[in-house]
Formats: sequence, C-alpha cells, structure tokens
Amino acid sequence: MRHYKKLNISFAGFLNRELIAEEFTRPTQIQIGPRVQPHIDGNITFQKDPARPWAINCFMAQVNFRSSDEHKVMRIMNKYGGKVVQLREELHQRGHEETDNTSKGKEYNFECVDELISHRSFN
Amino acid sequence: MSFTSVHDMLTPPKIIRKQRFWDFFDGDSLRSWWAQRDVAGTGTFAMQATVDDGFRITTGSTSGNNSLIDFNDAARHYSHIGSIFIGNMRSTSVTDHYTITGLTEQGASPSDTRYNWKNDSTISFMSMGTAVNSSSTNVSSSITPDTNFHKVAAEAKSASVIGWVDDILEAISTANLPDVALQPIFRQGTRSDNAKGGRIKYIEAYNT
Repeated sequence: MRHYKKLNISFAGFLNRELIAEEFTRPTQIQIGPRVQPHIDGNITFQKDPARPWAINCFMAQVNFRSSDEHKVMRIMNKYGGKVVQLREELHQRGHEETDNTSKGKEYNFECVDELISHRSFN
Repeated sequence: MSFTSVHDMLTPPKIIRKQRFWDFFDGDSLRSWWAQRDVAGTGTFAMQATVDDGFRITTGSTSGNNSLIDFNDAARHYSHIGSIFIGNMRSTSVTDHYTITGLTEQGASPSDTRYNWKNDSTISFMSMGTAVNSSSTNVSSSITPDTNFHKVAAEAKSASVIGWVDDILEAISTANLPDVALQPIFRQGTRSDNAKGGRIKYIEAYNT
C-alpha cells in the first residue's frame, strides 16, 4: 500500500528551481522496465514566494511524495535551508480525473494524498 | 567558414543529429504530415486568417466532443526517456473545455501513454499530465488558465518529466511516466453543449 504525504517548502537564497529539481529527480541505478527509479518518488509544483514575489531566487516547492522517501525530502530541505510553510491545497501534485457518468460525463479532479504536513500559525 | 552539409551547420562536430520536428502553423493549410481527427462529434479545423493566431480547432457542440491533430499514430519518433516537447497554445474559453498539447502514444485515447500540458476547466491551474497504460497523474502549475498564448515545454528523462510554462520551471512528475515512443498532438475538447476552440501556433519536438 502506497502512502503519500504532501508539504510546501519555502527556499530562499542563491538558489534556482532547476537545482532543487535536479536534487529531487536525479536517477538511481535501479532499472525498472524501460525506466530508471528516481531518487525520490515525488511530484512537485514550484511557485513564487508570495512574501517575496520580486525575488527570483526565493520560491516555494510543494511536494507530494511517497512516505518512505520522507527522510530524503527532509535532507534536501535542510541542505538548502528550506522551511515548511502553509500548504496550498488547491495545487495538486498527484491529481486524478474522475468521470461522473450520471451527469453527462462531467469530470472532477481530486488528489491522491494521505497526509498533509503544514506549518501552524500562532498569530 | 564553410560547411559540407546542412547537418554540419546545425550540429556540433562528432555528434549525429537526432530527430527533430517543428511547425509554425503558417501558410493557408495544415501541412500534410498532420492528421486531422474527430474523436467525438465533428470539429472544425482551419488556419486562422488573423495575425499570430496559428491553427484553430473548434469542437462539435455536444458535451464530450473533442478533435485533434497528430501523426495518425503512424510515426512515433520521440523517446519516452529522452525527448523535449515545446508548444505555444491558447484556449478561447476558460469554462467547460480542455486544450492539450504534448506527446502521446495513441492520439484518440486521451488517457493513454503520454506527457503533455493542458488547460482544463476541471482543474484550477494549467497542469502537466503524465500517463502510462491509462494510469495518469496531473501536476498543477501555479499558472491560472486564461485565453492568452502560453509557451509550454516538457522534458522526458529517464526518471522524471519536467515541465515549464513561459520559460519558468513549474512542475515535476515522477509518477505514471510514459514507457513507449511518442508523437506530437494538439487536442481540443468541450465539456458542455457548446463548441469550444483552441489555437496552436508552434510545436517542436526532439530527442535529446
């Protein structure tokens, strides 16, 4: 049974999105059929940091990852000084479409996620 | 400096150029390598007679109607583990529709093996889709759909698919990645009883 977690990480500093992308997606030596197993089984949405929208080296990476890869995600976050911030739940990283066959084939989008990790505001 | 061939002009020394395709959708008709196909309903296919508006697909006017252009499933040149796709597309509506461009295995099976970008009214953001054997995943970007042209791009690597919108890295997927060779596609669909339109003015695909 696969178990997926989701969190939003804010990165700031002399970073770019490609660097973080490379950390997450670098291939392993494990061959699975016609493909190679990725370092982290995780899908990512990059966003501007709303607190610093003018800063191109400040961005947020919302990750939906397999829970067995959590220590790898946390290691990347710590290595680049990332912080867990408020989730944007409307952004789906593992979205699926489902057709409602009772109302003219209307399709809906939902997300495959079991656990949300988010910061808590004490204001 | 003189070159012995066009290949040498366009390719660094000692590299054998891999397959590359592009189309600006100019002229008065669609180039012959494209197949115009109606998956459901009867769509309209036409070059736009306006400035910088590319090629148009307008769907039929029944919910679920959709039409596309692809290589008719006859020429799949692009690798599932080493290719890049670039498209410049727009939708003419933001409600009850979807507009898709990318690389796919079976043009007429929207959920089959593919990687692509889409504007879809069921999703609040432009999203990158990956699918293999009808198991699919959508990764949202942070771009809200509108009716403007957007340059979308995606790269299929050995362990991931990475996607850009307007030259900014927006999404990464490591789930449901395609496992066979692919062909370019542009597809327009409607989710209501109204015809919906999409425009495409550039497609490029190449193996890396």
